[in-house]
Amino acid sequence: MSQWGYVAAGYGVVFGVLGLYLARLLRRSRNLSRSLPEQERTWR
Amino acid sequence: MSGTANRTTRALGLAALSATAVTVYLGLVVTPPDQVQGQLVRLIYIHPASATFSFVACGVTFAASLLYLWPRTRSRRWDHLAASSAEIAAVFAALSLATGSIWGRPTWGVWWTWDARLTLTALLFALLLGYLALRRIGGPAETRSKLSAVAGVLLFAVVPVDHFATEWWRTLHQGDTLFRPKPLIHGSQLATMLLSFLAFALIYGYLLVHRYRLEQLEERLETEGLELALAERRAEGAAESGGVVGAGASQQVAP
Amino acid sequence: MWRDAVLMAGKDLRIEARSRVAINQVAPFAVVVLVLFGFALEPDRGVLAQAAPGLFWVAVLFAGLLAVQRSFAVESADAARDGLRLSALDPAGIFLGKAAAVALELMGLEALLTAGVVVLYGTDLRGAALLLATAATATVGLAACGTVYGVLVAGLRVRETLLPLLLLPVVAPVLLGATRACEAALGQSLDDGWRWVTLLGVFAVLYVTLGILAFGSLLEEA
Repeated sequence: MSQWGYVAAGYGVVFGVLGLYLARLLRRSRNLSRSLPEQERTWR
Repeated sequence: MSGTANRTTRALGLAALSATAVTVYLGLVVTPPDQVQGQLVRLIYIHPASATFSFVACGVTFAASLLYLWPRTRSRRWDHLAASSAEIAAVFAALSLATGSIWGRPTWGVWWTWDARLTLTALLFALLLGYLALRRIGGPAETRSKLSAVAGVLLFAVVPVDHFATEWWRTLHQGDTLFRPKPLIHGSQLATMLLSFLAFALIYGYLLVHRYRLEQLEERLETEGLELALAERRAEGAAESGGVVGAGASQQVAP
Repeated sequence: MWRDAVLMAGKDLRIEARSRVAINQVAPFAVVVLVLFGFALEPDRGVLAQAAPGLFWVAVLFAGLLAVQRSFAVESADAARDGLRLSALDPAGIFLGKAAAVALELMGLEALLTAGVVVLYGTDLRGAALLLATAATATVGLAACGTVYGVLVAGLRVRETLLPLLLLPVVAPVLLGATRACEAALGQSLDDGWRWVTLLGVFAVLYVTLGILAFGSLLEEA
């Protein structure tokens, strides 16, 4: 594999994983906030 | 329903995204390849930053655990902060190990070398996995928080010892690139590397805010979720059966 | 505190003397581990002799896990933990006593395993002072660290699987340091063994201190 291949793999893994983690976080919080009334969120 | 987002997170997220985009552009396009390492040097714009922030996040967990344990500062917030930061620390540690491996393979020919920094990060990752496993034990929240807080202090107190142990044991790493009298890299490479630290700091902050709020939501759901569900069922029951059974049910409930 | 520690250590050692679990189960287990290493690493190529210090300390670590589990298993019968909490014993004293008992058991085990390593791996014993200093500091650190994690998981249903996951990464530097020091003592390396003993000493002091501070509140949750 050429050097660019390794670089691409590195950048891809980092931003791919971070993106997936963020997506998972946002999805979980969206689902949870559906089950809870509005006033629970103190950061509005 | 936007869950845990608000104006602050949107601003923070935008800042993180911009810093990251600029870093990637500079890292992949603008900066020159290295004389010795060729294009592989571009990994210096993602590897050190993720390693550094896994340690920073661990430090936050350590400090938050201490604050939770100290009676005068005890608050659910520290427990939530400790848990959130630990999870993000684990993500960064895993990324650091992965990028270290990806960098090491073409450079030294092997997927893993037992060099001081990588080994230290691997140890940190193992410590984090233990902490995260402890958080999942279920049971009363107070117990879980107290045990986790103590574990948070116990587990990460060993990190300085690990640092010296791994340093004395092996050093294959290129040595400190930044904290030397004369930095080994300069110009656009140095600037981009510093920018990458800023980008990762913003990413850490952004993820932390969301994860922290999620932790708050989950705790609310745990404590109040049961009551909410019961209230909903009762409301459903009263609506379904109209008067008769409702009256009978309320007669049963009253002692 | 010291009186309570002696009381506690005495009780644990007396239980051991009567039940002989460490002698009958943990010690043979450790020896079996040494033998298994012999199967895993070809004896004739000299790898075993070279790796002897490391293999020794790995066996000690695994045996230490069992010793800690046992130390708290004896407290789970007849609500003994409640009894401990309600007794007027100083929690720090309980910690020191239990850790001391584990340390003594481990030292006995190490003596046995030293004989095992000499016989099975053909190790030449040298540098007695360094070896003994290493064993002393490493064992104190292992016992203290194991005891504090042992009480942390004592009340949990998943304690058997959680204890190794929590404890082993934390005591990794002990394995590192003890192995390097023993290699230096045996003449297998030119490293400064006493530097490693210092590191082991720091670890021991750290976890004895943390144990004294944390044991009380952990016992309450157990």
